[in-house]
Amino acid sequence: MTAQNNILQELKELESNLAGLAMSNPYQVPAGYFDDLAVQVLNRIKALEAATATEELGYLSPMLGSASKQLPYQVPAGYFDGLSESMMKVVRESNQTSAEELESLSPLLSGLKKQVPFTVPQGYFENLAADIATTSIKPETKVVTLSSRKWFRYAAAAVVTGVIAMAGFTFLGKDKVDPSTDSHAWVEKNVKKVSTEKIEEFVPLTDEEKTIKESIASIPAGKIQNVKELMKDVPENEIESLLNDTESLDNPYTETAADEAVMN
Amino acid sequence: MSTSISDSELLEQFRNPLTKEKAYTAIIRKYQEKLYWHIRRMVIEHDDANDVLQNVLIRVWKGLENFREDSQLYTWLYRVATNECLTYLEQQKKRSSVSLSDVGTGLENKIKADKHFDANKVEWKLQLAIQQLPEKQRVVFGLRYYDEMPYEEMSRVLETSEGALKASYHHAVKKIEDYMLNH
Repeated sequence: MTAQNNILQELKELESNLAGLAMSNPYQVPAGYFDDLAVQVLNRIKALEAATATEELGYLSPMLGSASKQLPYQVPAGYFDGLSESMMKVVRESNQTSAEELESLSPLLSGLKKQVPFTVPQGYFENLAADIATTSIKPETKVVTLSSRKWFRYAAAAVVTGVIAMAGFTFLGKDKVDPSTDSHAWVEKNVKKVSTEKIEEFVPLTDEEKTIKESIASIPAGKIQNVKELMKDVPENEIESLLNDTESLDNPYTETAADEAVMN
Repeated sequence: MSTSISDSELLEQFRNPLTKEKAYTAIIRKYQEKLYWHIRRMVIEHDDANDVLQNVLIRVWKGLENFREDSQLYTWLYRVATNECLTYLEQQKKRSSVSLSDVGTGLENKIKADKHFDANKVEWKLQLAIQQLPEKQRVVFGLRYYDEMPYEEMSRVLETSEGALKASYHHAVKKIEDYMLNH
């Protein structure tokens, strides 16, 4: 059994998913790599053991080993001839005193006197310390910071609260409808709150004529006769006057119609 | 004063106030071209190389008195020059706000901007190939290829092990060869 089969068997025994995977190498190797590998390694070893840089380069790269080592860059003419003198000048300048520096930069300035032409009032420096002592003691001014005014803070808090409250009322009151200004909208809005069954019960009640007839029809016949007997001696104009005086605000039409129906 | 004077003698004269300047001048004359070309290979342009070289020589004036001679004088000089080069290139990078990978492109452009540049000539192609290398690898290649510096000395200059330097140089040679064959 080969090593590969052993490994597969082991993976199967372990119930690993790897057992089902194809054993393929995803990596690529440059063409001809293995053909020259032995020679390259041998040359490398010889280069490591080489006595000189030239011999080493010969083993590492015959091409570079045979190429000219001359650099193609140009140098300004006389550069190296004057380099040491110019460096000495630089070094001397770095070690100079300020007087020597000034003399090398400008002999004219170096020759001038360093005396300042300005004058100072007599006794200025003697009294200076005392003057500074007296003028430096100043009464401390009270510093009042903006944040120390309590009323300012309370006012700011009140303004913020007011703004929030106004925004809240405006937002919550958006849905309110005034019945005095927009009765249709108010009715429509409130009707939506009433269930369909209630509306169906209500609709027949609004049929007034039918209601009156039903009301009359619902009165027992004996009762109607009793009323007629009671009212037979009462003049008709008095009955009419009474009806007019006691006209009801709640249901004027139905009562008047019912009364007329009874009278007749 | 002849430039054939040994380094130890030059150092002794440098430490003497009476002969300090003469010794300094002699040291410059002895190593100026080696140091210049080591710097020029890194920074390409003459003006930049001159700036860096002058900084190096000022550092030499200031620091040579404390040189302990635990390495060769030229090893110390090369170390100062290499550090100045790398510092200079870092400053250039920050000044022009280019990424590290673009520094090589900037130097490549400087090579091509040289008035004597000729893309058909091998020596110019070699310079372009060298600029493809990372900075430190460029230094290693330059010291070994042009100056033929022993790895032992190079390890003191760059404060890196000899093995790492050999590996770096071998890789550099391979990269340069590939570049020159493909361009």
